[in-house]
Amino acid sequence: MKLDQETSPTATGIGASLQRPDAIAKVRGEFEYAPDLLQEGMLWGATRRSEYPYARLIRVNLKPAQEMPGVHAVLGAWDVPDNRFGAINNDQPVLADDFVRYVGEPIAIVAAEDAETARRAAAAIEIEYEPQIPITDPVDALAAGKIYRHVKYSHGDPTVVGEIQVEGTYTTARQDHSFMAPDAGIARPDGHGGVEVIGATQWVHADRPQIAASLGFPQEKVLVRNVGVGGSFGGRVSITWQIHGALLAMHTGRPVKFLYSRKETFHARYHRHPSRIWVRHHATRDGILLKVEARLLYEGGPYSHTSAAGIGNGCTLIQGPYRIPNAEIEGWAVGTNNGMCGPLRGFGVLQAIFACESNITKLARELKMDGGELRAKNALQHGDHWIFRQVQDRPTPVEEIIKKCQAMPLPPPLPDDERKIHPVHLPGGIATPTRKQHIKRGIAICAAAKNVCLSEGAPVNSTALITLRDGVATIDCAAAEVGQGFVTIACQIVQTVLGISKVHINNPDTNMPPAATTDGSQQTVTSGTVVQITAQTLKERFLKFFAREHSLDVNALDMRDDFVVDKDGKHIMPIAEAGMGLVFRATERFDQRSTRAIEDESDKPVHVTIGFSANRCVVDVDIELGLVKVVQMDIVHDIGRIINPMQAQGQIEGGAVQGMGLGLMENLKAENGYLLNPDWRSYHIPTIVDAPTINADFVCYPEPGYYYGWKGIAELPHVQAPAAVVAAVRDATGLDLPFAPATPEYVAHILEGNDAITPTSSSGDHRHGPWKVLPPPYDMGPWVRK
Amino acid sequence: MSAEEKISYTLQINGKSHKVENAFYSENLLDVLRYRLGMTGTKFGCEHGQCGACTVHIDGKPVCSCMELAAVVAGSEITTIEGYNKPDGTLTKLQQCFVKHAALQCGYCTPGFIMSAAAFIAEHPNATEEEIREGMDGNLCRCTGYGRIIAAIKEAAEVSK
Repeated sequence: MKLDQETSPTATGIGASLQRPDAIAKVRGEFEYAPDLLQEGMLWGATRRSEYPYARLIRVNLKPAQEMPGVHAVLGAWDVPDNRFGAINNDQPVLADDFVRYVGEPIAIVAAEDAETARRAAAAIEIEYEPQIPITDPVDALAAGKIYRHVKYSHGDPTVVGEIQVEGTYTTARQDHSFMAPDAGIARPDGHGGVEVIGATQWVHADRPQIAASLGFPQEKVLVRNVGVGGSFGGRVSITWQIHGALLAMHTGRPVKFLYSRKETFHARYHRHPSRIWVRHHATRDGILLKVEARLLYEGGPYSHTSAAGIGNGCTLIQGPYRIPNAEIEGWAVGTNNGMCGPLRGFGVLQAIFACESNITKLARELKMDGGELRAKNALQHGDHWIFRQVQDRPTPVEEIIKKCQAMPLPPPLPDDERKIHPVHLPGGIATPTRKQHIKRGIAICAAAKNVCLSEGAPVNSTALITLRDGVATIDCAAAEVGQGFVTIACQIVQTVLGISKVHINNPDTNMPPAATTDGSQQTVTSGTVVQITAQTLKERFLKFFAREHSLDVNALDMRDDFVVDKDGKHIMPIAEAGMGLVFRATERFDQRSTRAIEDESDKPVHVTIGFSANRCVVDVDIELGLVKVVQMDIVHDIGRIINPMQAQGQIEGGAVQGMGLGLMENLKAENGYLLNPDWRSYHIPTIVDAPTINADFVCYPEPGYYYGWKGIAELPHVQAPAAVVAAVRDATGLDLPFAPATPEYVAHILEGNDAITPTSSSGDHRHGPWKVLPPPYDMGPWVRK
Repeated sequence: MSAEEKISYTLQINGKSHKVENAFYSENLLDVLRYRLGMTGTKFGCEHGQCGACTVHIDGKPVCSCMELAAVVAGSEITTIEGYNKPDGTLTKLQQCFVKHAALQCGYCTPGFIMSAAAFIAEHPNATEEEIREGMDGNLCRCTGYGRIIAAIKEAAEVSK
């Protein structure tokens, strides 16, 4: 299908590329983000963090900080009413008490007159540690029994043996969200004994109970407001400064602002689980998949957080989008002292798809088959059984997606004359040392499956309230806008249902009824659906009123173009007048179908639904230096129905480039528990030079269960990109690259004839480059000037 | 001068004089703009000159304001996004192109991109895609994948015939 190339400020309704309602404020720098918040009389917060990956706290002396002029409060663990919190289990201290278990774990917090004083005071706190030996390798964690979840199941006949067997062990690195706006916000007393927490989050209704419980408050005394989220990608579902801010605000009686430095953001954040996955595919000689065996090891942090959900996602979608009748799967989420891990776009699935797709590529090579042909041949079909005992009862256009992707036009080869090539098109980019004769092109296609919505029994629901007055609708729905564009599509949905052009949406807070978290690509299908249902109810109410007022048959009325119309579409009266100045309201709740844990016996599905996509990646590789330029990615996505074509395309392009980052460069290295590259000087994310041309296309089969048949898409482009990029590098080099990212040093290392040994720990590749030297004592960055 | 020393000075920002009193010599321009003068349109991203979110113009050149000591640029003409904006609330051609091409999602990098691109376009009318990639390499975006940003800058750089 032909996609729009520009947005429109005036187009309305589903299917239009309406411009973002916040676009003008954002391009003028007038949109208020959490780091921008300022309040009269506010104090600045700062956090004293652990300098050791694992140590017993012998003594914490707050006094030197308390005595500094300008300091209003200094709090330690003993000041926290309930010092254990967590996303799922309450196993994490708000402030460390007996032990610290990762570098950067909060130990004490300060509120002071200005930011510099707060930082100096935090640095002045005296801490005595008794260092312990940290667990830094997930294999050691497994042996030590530090296991958050062990998944084990089989499907079909696990004794089946294929004529062809291909196996491999694949690992992925720790990836950071690297959203642009660091963690920030303000907490302030509400004047009635409660607290308001205002900042950037993905889920106000999950933050509130965690903050309230830690403070010993009933939930009603905590109001969480979501303000100006500067990127999220799964990262802001984890609590960082929020409880600290609330504690300091209650202690000082004044607003307290937190703003993390970038380095602090790296340490405080919950990264993507590094993974180590062994997988073996069994197939017939004709390339029909018979069985998949896999063992997955995900490295979580020292506290459980969401690791159990992540390994569940991985242990199911290791199947990929393929029909496989037999399976034997085992997986573990374990805890190390390398820092916290949590959700990041494609949570738990990206790692499994990297392993699955890498091995399918290997199988294709073994069978001497084209990778696309092998994948299309085994494509999952409607009615098939997933290995995790779920029937694929929704549209399943896997084969179509793969074939459509392969049919997209390939880019032209590099010109023969080196002087005609601009260096941005070469491996290494500007100022590259590459030479044309060393460049080889690689092409590979990968497909992927990703669950849409939270799975395994997590309740997924949203409630919306819509108000219509004088022809203008206002939406109250607590679904978080993090940049993905929910605010745009929610307005478009209401425009279509109510036939009006003017729709506003309010900022989420916990005074609104709960809505689903911005996770698992679920906002359109959950909060979008409830917005549609609520608008529908509102429309019925409004027309009933109008019909009664004007003695008309309600069944012969509709709303369109800001008018109440008859059944032929003839305008009867403007909606703005038809309401007679009255306020019309509706509230509805929508629940996704309920799901079950993998281990549970019931007949419920494990995942609400599953989306599919394919990515054909073209790379140019310098086979001497290991430099890679991604030339083009052609992506076909299963979307159900497109609400906003430009935004859909934006999700694909942004996700694919973020995934390419993990495929080629993003590796937050840990050595002996210390992060080696916690800033953008040494943790590289893709730049405008790295970004390839991306061509996106969609297939649209309406998803049952939703009136408009839409489907979530936010994660899949990211999920499949590392697999596709690394597969293309393999195609160019002929190397077996079992690790993502395939950095130049890693590729060159193997090109030099070294073993492609899979790294055992999250430290990533064997050669640590310029970061080999350990940094203790851990310094807090340029913030602290001791 | 030591980092501990406190001084007062005057900054020329967006055509107006702003007095900065009793500030540490070590305070960077970004912090002074945001927290002493309340101009938060310039964004704080990495404090290392890596991301370009804090780009302002100093004497017409794009600079990461986190890398400049505020006291050192007293006497220079500083332009922030607030000064770049048209006072009547309408958008410049560059800003219109960013909106039209959906060159922003979360938008946190956008003011920095606008300031960098404005300086880039002034020197590169009719810039090619390659020139844009090379010239804009100092600004990071994590949401869009850059394709739409390139399209926006390309159109904005077109000199009308």
